[in-house]
Amino acid sequence: MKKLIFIMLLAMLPVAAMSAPAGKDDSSKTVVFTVSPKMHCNNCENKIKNNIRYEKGVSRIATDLKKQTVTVTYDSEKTNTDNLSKAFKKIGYTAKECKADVPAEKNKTAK
Amino acid sequence: MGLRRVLTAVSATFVLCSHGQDIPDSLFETIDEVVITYPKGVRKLNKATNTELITASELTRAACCNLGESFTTNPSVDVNYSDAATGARQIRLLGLSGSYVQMMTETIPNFRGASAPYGLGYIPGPWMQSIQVSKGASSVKNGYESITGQINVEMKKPQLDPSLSINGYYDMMNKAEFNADGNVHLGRNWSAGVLTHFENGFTGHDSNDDGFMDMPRIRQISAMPRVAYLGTNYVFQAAAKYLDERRRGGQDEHHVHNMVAGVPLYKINIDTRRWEGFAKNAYIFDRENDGNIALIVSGSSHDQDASYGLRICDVKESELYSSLMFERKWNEKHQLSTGLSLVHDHYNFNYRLSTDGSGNMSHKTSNETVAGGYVQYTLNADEKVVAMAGVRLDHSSLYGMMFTPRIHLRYNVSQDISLNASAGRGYRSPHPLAEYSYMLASSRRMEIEGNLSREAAWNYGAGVTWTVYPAGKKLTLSGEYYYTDFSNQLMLNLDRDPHAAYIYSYRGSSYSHALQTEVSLEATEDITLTAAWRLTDVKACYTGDKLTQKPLTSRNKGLFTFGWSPNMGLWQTDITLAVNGGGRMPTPYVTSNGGLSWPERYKAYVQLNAQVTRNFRHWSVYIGGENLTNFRQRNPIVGASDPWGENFDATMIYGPLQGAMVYVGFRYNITKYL
Repeated sequence: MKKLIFIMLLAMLPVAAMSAPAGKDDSSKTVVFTVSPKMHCNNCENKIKNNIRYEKGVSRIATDLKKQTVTVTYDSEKTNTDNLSKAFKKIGYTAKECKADVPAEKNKTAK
Repeated sequence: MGLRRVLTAVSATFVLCSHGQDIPDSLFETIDEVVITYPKGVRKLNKATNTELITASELTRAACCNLGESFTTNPSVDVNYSDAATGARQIRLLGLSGSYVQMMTETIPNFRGASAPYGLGYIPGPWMQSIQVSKGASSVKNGYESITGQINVEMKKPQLDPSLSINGYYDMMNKAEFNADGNVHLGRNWSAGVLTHFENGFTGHDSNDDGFMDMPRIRQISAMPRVAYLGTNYVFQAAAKYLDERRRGGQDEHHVHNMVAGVPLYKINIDTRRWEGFAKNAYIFDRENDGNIALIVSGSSHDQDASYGLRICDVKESELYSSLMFERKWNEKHQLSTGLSLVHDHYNFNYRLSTDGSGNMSHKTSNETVAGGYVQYTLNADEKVVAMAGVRLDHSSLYGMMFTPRIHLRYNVSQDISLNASAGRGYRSPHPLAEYSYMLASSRRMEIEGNLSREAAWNYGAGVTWTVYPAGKKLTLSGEYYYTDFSNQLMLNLDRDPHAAYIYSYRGSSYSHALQTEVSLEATEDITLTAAWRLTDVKACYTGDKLTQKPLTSRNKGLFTFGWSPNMGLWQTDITLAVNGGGRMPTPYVTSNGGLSWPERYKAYVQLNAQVTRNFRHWSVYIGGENLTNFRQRNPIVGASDPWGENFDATMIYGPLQGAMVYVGFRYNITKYL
């Protein structure tokens, strides 16, 4: 019985290790969206994060309640901003690409 | 169009943003307040009370098959088995037993009396939306019964986006669970949903070879249909729940080696049928100021037939709860809540406590009606100072008047430092046969005092939370201290005579000190670490005049959790290490061979839990292990070789009864976002 448990545990380790995020390449891009209706709380943030994360090519999502922005880092060879907007639509949000000033540091941290 | 906009705003603000809890406050505890610390999962709320919120995502960090298993990653709450044969579990908050925590479902008091020993198994994990744990005196809105705190469970609401969820679980002990729930929207205002559950333990296990199953085999079926109406000025919710449970514990044919002809096996059979139902109505007369009048009515019927060897204890309990509330805010700064309540409890016992089956069945009934009222004022001065003061006055048909004052204060010194303090009184009516029924899994004589008085205690607490950002990482430090002082307590005394359980009212000194510290670090975006330590000192007079430690209560608890969720949480790994103990055992006796019947003390023990989850868009699969350190209490059943003899005792339990266990499970969810 103990043996079985250890085997199970050992099996878990490589599985978890495999999940380490892959390195970024040059096709990695960042886009900032504003969404409507507005995000009101953690639940709204989670709804966005928990759905957009499954979109092909998406590697990072950051939401900002105060600024009402969603920053998505994606692989431009696998998807584009139109596809991402469509994904927002599926969960009841209209996402507009934010043309307003995006602080440079925001882009930096999003990488 | 206008109506549509209003509805969208209503649903966005009240449904999404309060974890499925709509207004008004009188119906649901609002939790959409400023969240101060805590990275993922458990969060402290910026309320006057010391309240933590355990969200559904926190519950997926461990198997969490039911409410009782939902606290493995939480340092504040302990869940322990009461005995080694029935599977009864009790929650412990601040080192005191679960009866002093007011359990609530959807802010209605629940699992009182006869349903308390097994109540933690009555809410399946996948049904739960969130759990709120409030330590200390708590609000007076829900009655006078909370002494060490409140635990409120919110279940999935039909007004959430329409969805279908299925969950399956299977573990090495050959236990399977299946849950399914779904909801639909019927037009603009109405929604309906149903939650279902099935579990079955297919085989019994006896890993320590004492002839007794380590855990009883449980077969449980439950279902809960519910409806909701969300109008502009009127909100209505109703639900019914039925539960049927069969527990089979004790000895079984497969595991007893030396069966003697003519000597029957010692079996424990507990069959439960339980109904619950509630309806909540609220009329909102002033939407801007959350002004509303609410009427809540709920009822339950608990029918439990139990036999422990030849001891029998059948109980029928019915309960009716009603509450009428008025609430309003002024300038977002002052809030007044006031209300009236009426509670009726009916108990009907048929029992025979002799271990040899001699004597006739005894019969006992009790009826208690409590009528009361409360006023509670909350001040919120720009989120800087949040204070809440409330008083209740109740009259019990059995125990007379009860006056319950409670006060809470939170002062946010800065955005990163928060101080809180509380003081309050609580009461409980004693129902020894219902709450201590698991003591019948022994040959101990039950010596229950005839004229028990109501329990009463004061609780005082203070705490601090401090957030710092060393090297840009969020580090949260918190410390809290609680003191509970009983002026009248229902005592279960196992020390006076090792062959008896004395249950009586006790007016002498009895207290609990609990000191807890916690450190939580968001090491990276993907990694969260928590370390917590709690020291408890629970004392009362058990033998002679001297205060001694409460037996079977651990002095220390340490909890270390590591959570790693890379790739935006597509993977999730959680490891929890818990240290419990040591503590005192009830006074042993000297056996015929000169040794002690059980050790006088037990040592600290370590348990490790781990789980890996892979999340897909609609699916999640998980594999995990519980108690991977494989610590088990040795010889948990005293006198297991002769369960009909006078030394048999399955209640000397301080630690885990099952060794290492591996489980697998899946979750499926499809949601139609509105």
